[in-house]
Amino acid sequence: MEARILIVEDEALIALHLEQIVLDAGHRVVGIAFDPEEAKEIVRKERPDLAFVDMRLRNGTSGLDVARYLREQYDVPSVLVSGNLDNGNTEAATQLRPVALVGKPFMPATILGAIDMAIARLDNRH
Amino acid sequence: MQVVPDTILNVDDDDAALYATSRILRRAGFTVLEAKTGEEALEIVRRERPPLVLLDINLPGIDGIEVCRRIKGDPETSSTIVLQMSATSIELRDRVGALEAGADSFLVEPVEQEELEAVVRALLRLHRSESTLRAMLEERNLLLREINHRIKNSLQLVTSILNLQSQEFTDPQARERFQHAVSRVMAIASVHERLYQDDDPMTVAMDEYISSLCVGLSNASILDPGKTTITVQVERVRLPTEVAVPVALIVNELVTNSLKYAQTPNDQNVINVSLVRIPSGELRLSTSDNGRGIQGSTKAEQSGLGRRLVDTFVRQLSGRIKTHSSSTGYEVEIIFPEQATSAWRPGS
Repeated sequence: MEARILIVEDEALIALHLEQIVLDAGHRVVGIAFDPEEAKEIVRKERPDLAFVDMRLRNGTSGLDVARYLREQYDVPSVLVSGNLDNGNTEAATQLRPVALVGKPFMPATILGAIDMAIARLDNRH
Repeated sequence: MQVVPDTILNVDDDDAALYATSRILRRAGFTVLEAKTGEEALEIVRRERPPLVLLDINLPGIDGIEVCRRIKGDPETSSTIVLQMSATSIELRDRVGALEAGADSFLVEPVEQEELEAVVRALLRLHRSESTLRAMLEERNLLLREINHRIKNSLQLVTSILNLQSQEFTDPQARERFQHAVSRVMAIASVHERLYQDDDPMTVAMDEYISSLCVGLSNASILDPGKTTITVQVERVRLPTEVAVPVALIVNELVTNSLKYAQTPNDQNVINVSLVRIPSGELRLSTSDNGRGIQGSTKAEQSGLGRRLVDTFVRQLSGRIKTHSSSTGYEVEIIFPEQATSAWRPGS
């Protein structure tokens, strides 16, 4: 199945790298959002199957809030990406039932694994 | 800046004694709260967080020693200074018991006004310097987390650039070589990804780390995944970063090599990676495969960068390496001490 994926990441290079991995795996990127507002705009128009969400976004905004919004308003699952996976924020992130928590720096294989997991869950739902 | 007077909680079930000490403290400029039972005292400590509690030992219900134990046992209130007070008739056993329950000091009544004031002031000084130290420690931890976050993010930027760049190569040989470089940088970066994830911020849990490294290498390889099995057997051992990085790079080289040359025409490819403690107290890292052995590779590959890296990392680890190659496979065994000599020492 070809998944439609939203990337929410405020580092341009990392966003491009994620896009590259997603495209190489034969999926589609519906948009790259640098902050929560852009993410909301894209999700409203595009209704993605899955989002990659960095836990820290532009101007101190929170990726956790974005992931919560996607889950509650549109039932879109997220893969949370963070350079700071430690006891404290892992707990906050887990409460959002993400598909996966990915630490930075990530290996492409980890991202591919997360996409596969998300697709398996989507297939179960259909 | 306006100086806010320190608040002291005065606990005594005897009205006259409570009145007398409170009056001394108020005259000395302190704000005084009062409690007549242990229960009441604990409630006020939790609610008002006074820096110091003047605590009579003989209280109805929960006695003073137990009140002190509970204040000191609760992480929320443990920084409260407790000054135990008691009448002359108190036995040595009780005085020792009070201090063992965590009291910071002890006074026997009746106490001279000057002495009470001086002891209270001394203890409040102690509380202030402890608070400053605690705040500094908190700030330091926050800074460490922030720096760590930035290191991880910067390493991510580096690996992202390299991965994006690798798409640009059209010459397959150049692309492969570039991929080797990317893979080496990723191995280093992924050690940092593992740091600061649990209570021990300076070391890496090697069992989880090597497993995930091998999964990454296997997924990135061109071999048919159905025909390749990497088994990882790693003991629960934690290594400091300066040891974990060379170990990661060695595993990266050896497994990449096995993935490249292990391919046998018909059979399943099996690669084993293990890291175990041996009776000498050293660690043994070994990899083996059922491939065509070193005979199958060209001379250039044996003397290539990969081999030089492995040999040099083994020296860095103060270790020794043995290789065994036959027509049925290739085996590498590296033995190194668990505590490699660290280049950095505090104060050096």
